[in-house]
Amino acid sequence: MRRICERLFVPVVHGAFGEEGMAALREVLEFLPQHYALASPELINGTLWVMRSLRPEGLANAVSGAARIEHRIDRLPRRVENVTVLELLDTGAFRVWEGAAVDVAAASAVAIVYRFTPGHEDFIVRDKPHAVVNPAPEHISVFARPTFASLRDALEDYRNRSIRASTCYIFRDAWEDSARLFFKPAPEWRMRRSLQQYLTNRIRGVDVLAEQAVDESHPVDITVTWTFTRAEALIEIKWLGKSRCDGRIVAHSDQRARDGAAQLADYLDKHHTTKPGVDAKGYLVVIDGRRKGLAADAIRASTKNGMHYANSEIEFRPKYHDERVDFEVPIRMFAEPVCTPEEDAA
Amino acid sequence: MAESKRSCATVVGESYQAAYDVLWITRRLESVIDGVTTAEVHLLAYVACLLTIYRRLPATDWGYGFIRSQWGAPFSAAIDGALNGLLGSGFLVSRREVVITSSSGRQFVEFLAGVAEHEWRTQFLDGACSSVLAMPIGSVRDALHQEPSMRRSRVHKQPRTLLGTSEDALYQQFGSLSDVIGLGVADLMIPSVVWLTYLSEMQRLDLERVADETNALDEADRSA
Repeated sequence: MRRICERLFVPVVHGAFGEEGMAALREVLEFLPQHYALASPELINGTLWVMRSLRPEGLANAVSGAARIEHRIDRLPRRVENVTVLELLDTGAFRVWEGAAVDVAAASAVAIVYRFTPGHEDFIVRDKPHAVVNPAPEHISVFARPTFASLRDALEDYRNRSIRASTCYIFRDAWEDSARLFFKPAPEWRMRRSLQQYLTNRIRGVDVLAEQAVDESHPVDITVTWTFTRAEALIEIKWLGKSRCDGRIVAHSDQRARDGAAQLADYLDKHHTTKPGVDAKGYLVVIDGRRKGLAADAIRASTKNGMHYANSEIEFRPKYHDERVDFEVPIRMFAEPVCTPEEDAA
Repeated sequence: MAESKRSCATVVGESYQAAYDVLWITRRLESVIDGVTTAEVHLLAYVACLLTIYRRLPATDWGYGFIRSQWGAPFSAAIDGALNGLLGSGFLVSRREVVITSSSGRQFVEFLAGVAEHEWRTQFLDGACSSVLAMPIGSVRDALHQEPSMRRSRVHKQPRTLLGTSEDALYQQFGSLSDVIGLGVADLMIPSVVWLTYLSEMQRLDLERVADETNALDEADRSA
């Protein structure tokens, strides 16, 4: 706990500025989700600073450039290309600098200072940065909180944000090579953990658990239970493509997705028997890392081969999602490789 | 306001404290996280109750108890009764999957906050709700899987009463917390966030351990 206290911005702000600092920190923390709801941090290409001064004279000595006052949060700049500073004022208004120069040491000595740059956010306290830990880094800020009412919507967002470009650091670690051609052996648990982490932070009022038994001998990859309701989702994850370890290749084709669908249908039948009072629904997630013409010793792929399966949907036989009301349409998530332009030219 | 108080007596029965807690939590967070789910109200009321231990008060003084429900989340019958009563009487309004306060609910919670019977609770409710300013509510929920009382009761299939008599591990954690940040901290956001971050790290380590074990088993299966 001592280690946490030394690096976590909340106790650090308290240690530096006391109760007055905590009051100012709360103002910043309440402002950020409201601001990001109107101005997505995805539109920040430069640096956004949000500051709350602890001194009546404000930040005049710490920030230079032309400033203006805005009285409404929806009038604040939405895009940040260079350096934008937003100062929260006593009146509830905002002082805005665009293209400002910031003396970080001076600002962080007299104000609560939050900084966002793409891929990183922190609080700077007395010139020392304290990173904000982001449990779901595929979402750009801890304080921008998109949440989903529907699991289907959340899975589609996960596909687009986390898997397509392997931006989730847990999932990224499932690849054997930097070109994302081969998975490591047994990449399943990283995929489970990645999805579990994502769903935990993006759906309200649910518990997301990995490897839950549907009966004595069958664990489903992930269960999502909506607290205090009878609704439950069983998620089965299957991966397609090749894994490689010391030259040994394990390959999974689209048949594995069909097998997964049959397996999930079987889990659902068992689940209805063992938990008759629960409204269970099955979701098959297919993580697709297939590349065309991939030799065992490949280290690169052309765009044509690497992206060959990008839009290649799987033909399910039977189509459980048409035949059963408890079976959602399977979601295929194509994970793109890093393609090599020279290969295209060749 | 006397009329409001009579209304509340009708709708919440014995659970004035739970009614106050539900209204306060909802009011505090509705603009920050766009309303609260009923599960989140139970969760944050439980965190608030736990924070009394940090102040060296017995958790039994909280006024109502919690169980670990079959969903693995904390649940209070008093909170449940208060939620239903407040929704039925229009102090709370249901909006899709979340609840928000109505204007009468906002007036009523302001009135209740000034009553000594409830006033002492506010610091604990604020400490719990403020943790959601600093970390996503999903992380708070996830972290609580490691809370000693919840953890101990998860081996039982049936719902179990939380915060019983033998909570040595919990008292030990709060003892360490007091050692690190002191007991005189007025703002309970600090111990709340530090402790939940600590539980969150324990949860991450626990999941990684399970993943490693699963991976080792998978490897052994393949080798065989």
